[in-house]
Amino acid sequence: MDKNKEDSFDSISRKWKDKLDKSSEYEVVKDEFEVDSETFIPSTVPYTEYREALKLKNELIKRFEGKSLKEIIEGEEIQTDRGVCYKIEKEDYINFNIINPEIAKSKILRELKLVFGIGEVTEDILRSEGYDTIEDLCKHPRFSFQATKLIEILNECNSQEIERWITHWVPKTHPLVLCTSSFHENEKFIILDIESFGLFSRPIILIGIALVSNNNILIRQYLIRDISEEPAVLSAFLSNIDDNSVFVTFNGKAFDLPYIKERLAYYGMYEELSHPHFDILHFSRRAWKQGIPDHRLTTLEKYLFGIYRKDDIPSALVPEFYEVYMRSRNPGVLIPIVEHNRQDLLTLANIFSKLHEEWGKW
Amino acid sequence: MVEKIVKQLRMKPRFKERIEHIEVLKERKAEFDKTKKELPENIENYLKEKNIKLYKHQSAAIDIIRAGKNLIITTPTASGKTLSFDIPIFEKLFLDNYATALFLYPTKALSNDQLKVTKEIERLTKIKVNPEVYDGDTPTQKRPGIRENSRIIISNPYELHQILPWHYKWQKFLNNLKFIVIDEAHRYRGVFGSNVAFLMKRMKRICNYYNSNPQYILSTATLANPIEFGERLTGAKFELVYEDGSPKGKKYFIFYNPFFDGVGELSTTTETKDLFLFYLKNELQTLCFTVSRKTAELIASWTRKDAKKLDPFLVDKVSSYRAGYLPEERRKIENDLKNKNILGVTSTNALELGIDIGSLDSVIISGYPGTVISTWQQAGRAGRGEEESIATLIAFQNPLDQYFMKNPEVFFDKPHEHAIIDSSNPYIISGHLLCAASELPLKIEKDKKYFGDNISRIISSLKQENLLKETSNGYVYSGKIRATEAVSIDNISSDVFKVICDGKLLETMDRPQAYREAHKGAILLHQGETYYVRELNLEDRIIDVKKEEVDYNTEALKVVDIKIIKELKNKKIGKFSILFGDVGVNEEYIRYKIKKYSEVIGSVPLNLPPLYFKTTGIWFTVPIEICDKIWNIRKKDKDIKKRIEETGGEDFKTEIFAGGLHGVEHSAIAIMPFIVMCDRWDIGGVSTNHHPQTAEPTVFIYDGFEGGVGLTEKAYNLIEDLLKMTYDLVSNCECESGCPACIYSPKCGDENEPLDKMGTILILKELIKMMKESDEN
Repeated sequence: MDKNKEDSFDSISRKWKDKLDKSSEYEVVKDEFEVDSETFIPSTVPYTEYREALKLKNELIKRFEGKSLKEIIEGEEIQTDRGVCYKIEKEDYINFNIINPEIAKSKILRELKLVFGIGEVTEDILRSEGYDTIEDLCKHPRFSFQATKLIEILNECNSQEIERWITHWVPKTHPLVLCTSSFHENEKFIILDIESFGLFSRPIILIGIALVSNNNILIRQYLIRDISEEPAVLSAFLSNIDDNSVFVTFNGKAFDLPYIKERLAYYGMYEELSHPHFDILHFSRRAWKQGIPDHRLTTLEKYLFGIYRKDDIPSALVPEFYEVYMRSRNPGVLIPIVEHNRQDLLTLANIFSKLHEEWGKW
Repeated sequence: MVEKIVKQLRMKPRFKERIEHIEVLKERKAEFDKTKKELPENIENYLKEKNIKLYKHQSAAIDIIRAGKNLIITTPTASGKTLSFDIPIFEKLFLDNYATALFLYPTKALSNDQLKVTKEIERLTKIKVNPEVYDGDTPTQKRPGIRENSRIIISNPYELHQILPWHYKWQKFLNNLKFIVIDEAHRYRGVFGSNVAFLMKRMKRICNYYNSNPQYILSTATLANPIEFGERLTGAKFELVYEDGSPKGKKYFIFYNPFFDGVGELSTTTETKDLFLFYLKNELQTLCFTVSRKTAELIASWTRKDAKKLDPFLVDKVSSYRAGYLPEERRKIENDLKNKNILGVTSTNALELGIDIGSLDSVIISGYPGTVISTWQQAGRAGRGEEESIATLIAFQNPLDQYFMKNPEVFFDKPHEHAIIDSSNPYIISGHLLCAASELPLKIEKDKKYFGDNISRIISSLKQENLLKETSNGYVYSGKIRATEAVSIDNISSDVFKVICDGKLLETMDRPQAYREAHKGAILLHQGETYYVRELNLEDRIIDVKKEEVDYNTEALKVVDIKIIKELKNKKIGKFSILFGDVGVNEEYIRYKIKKYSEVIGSVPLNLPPLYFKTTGIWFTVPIEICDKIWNIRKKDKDIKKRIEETGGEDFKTEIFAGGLHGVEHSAIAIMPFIVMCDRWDIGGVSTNHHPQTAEPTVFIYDGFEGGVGLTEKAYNLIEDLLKMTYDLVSNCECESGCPACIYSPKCGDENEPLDKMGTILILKELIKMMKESDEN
């Protein structure tokens, strides 16, 4: 091949590089910039946070130069059917309270409006006639058929079926919908959060899940050390999922789950992943409407639990940190990525529990 | 009636001299045919119900599609092309309950038209396909349902480009994809077409991943190279249907020249208005195509104004139509046309495409639309069934329009243009490789068949720049923004400047436009208002402007110099040599003129860095002896004699020669759109008495796009025709010493200086002579 053609390819590639370098999926903004509370994926990074993150990056690079990943982030290489990746596990205590399924059921049964043909007016009339629960309605001449059917579904404890029924009559963020999560064993919750190279169509860097058992929370993170390990991370993640798994995420219906599905399809590992899924973002927007400036996870944890993260980086900066690792193999820059994800998972579990607490009261 | 009106035109003193030519296109009877194999009963019933008897081209198309072959159909607008592929697609979707089809249309309006048609067929045949449009306007909540349930999805290339990385969501649809229909495919030519071709390769790659192998159906205007074009656009082999079986009435094709006398008393716009009004007064429903939105508005409003005095009844019967109108407004005009509620519409080429407005009695084409294809498409809007109709081409003063007016036979003999698709433009390939790598990991061995043999080298340079990561699973895209966002399919430049006025965004423009029109001190026009450019910030790509009423305008002047990077091809025709290769073009804006109307009142130097781009071009040298030869002839001419006397015997033969070369460059560029399908603005040129690399007088003509788009490459193959036609253009031009119709260029960076018409003719004559001389000695 002639030399000129080669040069031309190189100059064209450089042109693409220049173009991509000039673009970004986030914008650094003034600290007082108001985050649009309608957008769930923050596309802005406040200036101070941005500056702090850059400072942190440089410190980490200096501090951990020459170190190996294993030395600074405890974990192990695991083998999957799609190759190897790095697994990090950490256990913690958690006060995890989910509404008792019997209580959840009785809450649902008290909502007469879940039966076809019952609105506010009819409900008042029925109550005055002594029909307090849907069980009572099984004896009602007009509503018995529908009421019996709902009770059958409730007895099967299939949360997706129940949810489908409920959301027909109440909004998807209604407390009763959250109540249906009680019909699953705590051990089946897959609390999920991913870190990635951007907003879709690029590799996943880390998949983190949290598993709860009694007062114990296990954070399990699968990290790529090289983009080649992405299929392994996906495969390792899938090994945690069985037919009865239930996803708990923060904005995962719009982001994490479709992202994982896209990447699975990318590697020819298509999975349906149509498990029950409780996206806490939407519930928390309903639960804490007032007094919270926006519904980013870090904002919620400040207001609800008084947690102020130290050495945290915004998700938008994860790719830049990871790029440093790829270039230099300095694992220091991975610490805030792993920590950020871990804290997100902990907070997610806590918010989930807190929601149950709030909505379990009435 | 039509015949009577044409007779009137020929007699009226106001018009008759301006009619350069009338071509009578003969009427034709309908030809019907049956399909080889019977159609299913539900489809037969549908045809019966709609009272449709299939024309022979429709049956031929149906047979080809039913045989599982790819079809390209080039019969004219209103010949029933859509039906010819809707029928076999519905048949397939009826026989296979899972089968799906994707329809791609270049505009949203056309998508909606097709949706209506498809819904009607569904209703009448009772074949359930749930047709839906899926494009940028489709609400998020509706999308999953469409992907899940619709078996005919109507979209556009822009949307497909965005969809491909999400293929997993489309699994069901893609698994069962049996047809990809590309309607108005001739729109996908040139740079845009090359991008769409690679989009189709990406689509094919995804289809193969989901084990489907859809048939392609292309519908286009008449092209010189339909089969080649289909292959280039999709990578598949095609069967062609081109013989139209639908009936046609007699058509009068009138060539009308406001500049018949070389001067032109009235402007093309005024003449258009008068003719438009004349046809309307004679109750011919007329569609008038214009070259710009502004003239569409102007002609409609002038016509209404005149009608107020002459024929008030007509005032409400005239409307204009163009992009930018709300969809409801457009629908109303389309329906009003169909129902004959309005008699006349002025329109940009927005109505050229197959939007359903029925047919009209008369079409005016105000200014040659740039291609034979478009001219016939527009003319094709006239003629209802077997009734007579008129198409009128009104010329501008520019060289191409004038050429056709003086040589109408060339227009009618001329084959339609070639639709160019360049499958080897590395800039376009590399962009689509980035996209492809974000859709499925790229593997050189597997993906070579889609992207060509160069991919390993392109991939390695993309890897070098860290845009693709090599992994054990293939090359993976990991850029800072989504690849489909970084790569746009209709415009390869995305170096966008923002024009800011009082902190608000006024508009955006690309870099060359910013240099040309928004340099410091420039007066920028925006919706009729004037803005003064305070600063052009190259670093932040911000143009700071201030609204200011001024009575002058500005015009930047550029100098262009060109360098041969690599000679790729050369050939000899007799003693004449033509070369083709990679060239580097340096464009620099050196100063700008301040003008009041067209009078220059000042000139200010500019300090802007040069714009450099690499492209492909052709060049030829002119033997230096010709310089003397021309001088010996020219110095005997009156004008030169006079000048020699005035200057006291000064010798300016180099100036005359340079003027000749410059004229050859301009006039050849003017004729280029006629040789290859492009706009004259797509091409650039440079001529010089001495080029350092060839060491001879040289003329360069190059593609105005980074990397080249095959324009001058085609001209290389057709160089004899190019030069002969250029010669005819200049020597037949009735002007004395050059005019916009021959050697003056509307885009010359040197203010059309020097230019010498006689010199141009003499050089062209010499070049043509050289082609005929044998090269033996």
